[in-house]
Amino acid sequence: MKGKNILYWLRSVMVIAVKDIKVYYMTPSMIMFGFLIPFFLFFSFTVGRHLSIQSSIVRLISMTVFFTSSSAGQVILPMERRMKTLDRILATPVPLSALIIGKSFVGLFFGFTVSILPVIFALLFFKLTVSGIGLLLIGIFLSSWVFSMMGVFFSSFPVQKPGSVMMPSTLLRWPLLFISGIFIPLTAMSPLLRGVSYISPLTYTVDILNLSVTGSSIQSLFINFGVLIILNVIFYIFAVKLFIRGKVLGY
Amino acid sequence: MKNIVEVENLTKYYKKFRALNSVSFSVEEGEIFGFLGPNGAGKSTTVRILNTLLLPTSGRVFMAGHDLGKEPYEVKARIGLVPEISNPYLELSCYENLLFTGRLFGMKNRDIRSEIDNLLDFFELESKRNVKAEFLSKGLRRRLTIAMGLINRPKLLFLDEPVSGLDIQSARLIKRLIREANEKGTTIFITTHQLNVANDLCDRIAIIQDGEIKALDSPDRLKKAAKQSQAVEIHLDKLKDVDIKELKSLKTVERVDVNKGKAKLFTEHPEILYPLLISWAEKNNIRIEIMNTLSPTLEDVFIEITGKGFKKGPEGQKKRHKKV
Ligand SMILES: Nc1ncnc2c1ncn2[C@@H]1O[C@H](COP(=O)(O)OP(=O)(O)O)[C@@H](O)[C@H]1O
Ligand SMILES: [Mg+2]
Repeated sequence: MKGKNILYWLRSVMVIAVKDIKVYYMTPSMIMFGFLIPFFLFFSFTVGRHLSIQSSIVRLISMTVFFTSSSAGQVILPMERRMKTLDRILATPVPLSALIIGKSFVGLFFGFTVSILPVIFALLFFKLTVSGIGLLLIGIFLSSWVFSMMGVFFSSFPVQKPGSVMMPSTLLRWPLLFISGIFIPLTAMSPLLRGVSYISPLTYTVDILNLSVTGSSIQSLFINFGVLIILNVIFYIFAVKLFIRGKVLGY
Repeated sequence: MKNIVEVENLTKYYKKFRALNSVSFSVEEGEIFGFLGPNGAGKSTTVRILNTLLLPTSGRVFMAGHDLGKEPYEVKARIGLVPEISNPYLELSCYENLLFTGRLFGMKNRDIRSEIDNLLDFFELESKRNVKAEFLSKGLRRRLTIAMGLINRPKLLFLDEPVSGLDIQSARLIKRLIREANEKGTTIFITTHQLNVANDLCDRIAIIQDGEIKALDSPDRLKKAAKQSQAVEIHLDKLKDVDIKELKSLKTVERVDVNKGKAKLFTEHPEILYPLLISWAEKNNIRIEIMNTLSPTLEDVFIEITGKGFKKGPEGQKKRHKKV
């Protein structure tokens, strides 16, 4: 890529992300899946269970990072397909890579913002102490991006009815949530269950968050970050492949 | 004349269904080129392939001096697309829609702004500059979509069914604007299932049906075929007693179709036929209940040119191939 092309690529990513952030932040499904569900889940599984403020905040952030980030792509892409606005972007010289990464930045932005606010709130009003604020921010950032890319990947499946990816992919998110170490600490799990929990990407996020907030973790940071980065790349590659498949099928 | 589009043996299968069968054609720089055909003929499929929204099964496309398969970005920078369904972002204003599209093409903000001023003025949308597309009428939304297709000052603009489903006034205005855009130097590729759109706008017309080009011509031949397909339809009280041969022998009548109490008399000169028909009826003491001039349908013209009707009979033209 020439220098000019890299600038064009970066600008395309930003143009796409900023437009989506502006257009979609107030849509009903965004509010439903991005804001209400994570907070609702948090309250139903946390309040009245005598959890420390530290464990509570880890749970809440895991929830928002997971749901808010992955919702964006699943709201935006089917909508853009249905309204045929996606065709407009695809017909311009914007590379597919810039389109997909731009879309993934939307979930990243919302996941990150919605997760950071409770942290600030808890630091100010609930005497929350964290052992590594830098690590916490990096962990939230990377996790938001991975789960956002997951949402983009889910909604890249070429289907006749663009809305129809929403249900299965929403359903698929629940088991990933429940098998992760979010509700039961990995140390308290049977070896079998613990093996299963490593399937869920959320497990690695929870471990990073635990380390940055409480100072203790199970796997090494190297593994946690490694798995998340590799997953991000895999989701991206599959999203690209699905988009190209869509150009063959015609939807 | 230089060719701005050259398509060689383009074939497209949707799974097992063949939508395009080895289509070849070229478009000359500066002209308005039309694809005319019934719904489901493969017009949108062609346009979508030429705009990289769809990958062809086989075939080659050269556009604006580049091979589309090898240098898609070079091509895409030089063309504009107005898809079958108007697709501005409903949540954005006219201005914001144009700005976003310009940015996707990597244009400088200053250039985009001056181009937006030109386009809003040209498409008579100045008063709607800050109105969200959601609140625009169908015709205005169409105009905005065409403006968005022109924001990058393309050499070649694709218009898929530009005036389909619009009222006569909007359609007329849009046709005028298309002609003016062409006069300013943009080559135009139109698809339509409407005979009059092709006749009014195009310099050359390819007739496409079942994924194949059946004829390629100037509108003159089409107009002639259209003229030959004009007809006068009469409803008679005692059609059964009428000798059809007599009707056929009337001056200028070429062919007569009788169907359910109605007779359809094909003629190139309805104005000559009218008085003849009236005096014929008086002489034979027959009452003509209704008399209509029928403008040619696409199917009539197809029969005239290709010798064949649509596959699905007279309904073929109306049959909509739904696609989501
Ligand atoms: N994505 C698709 N999958 C399967 N068949 C399709 C798809 N898109 C179009 N078709 C079929 O291909 C044929 C040509 O469609 P199209 O190019 O849209 O026709 P036109 O634009 O001339 O009305 C039609 O029979 C249509 O049903
Ligand atoms: Mg079409």
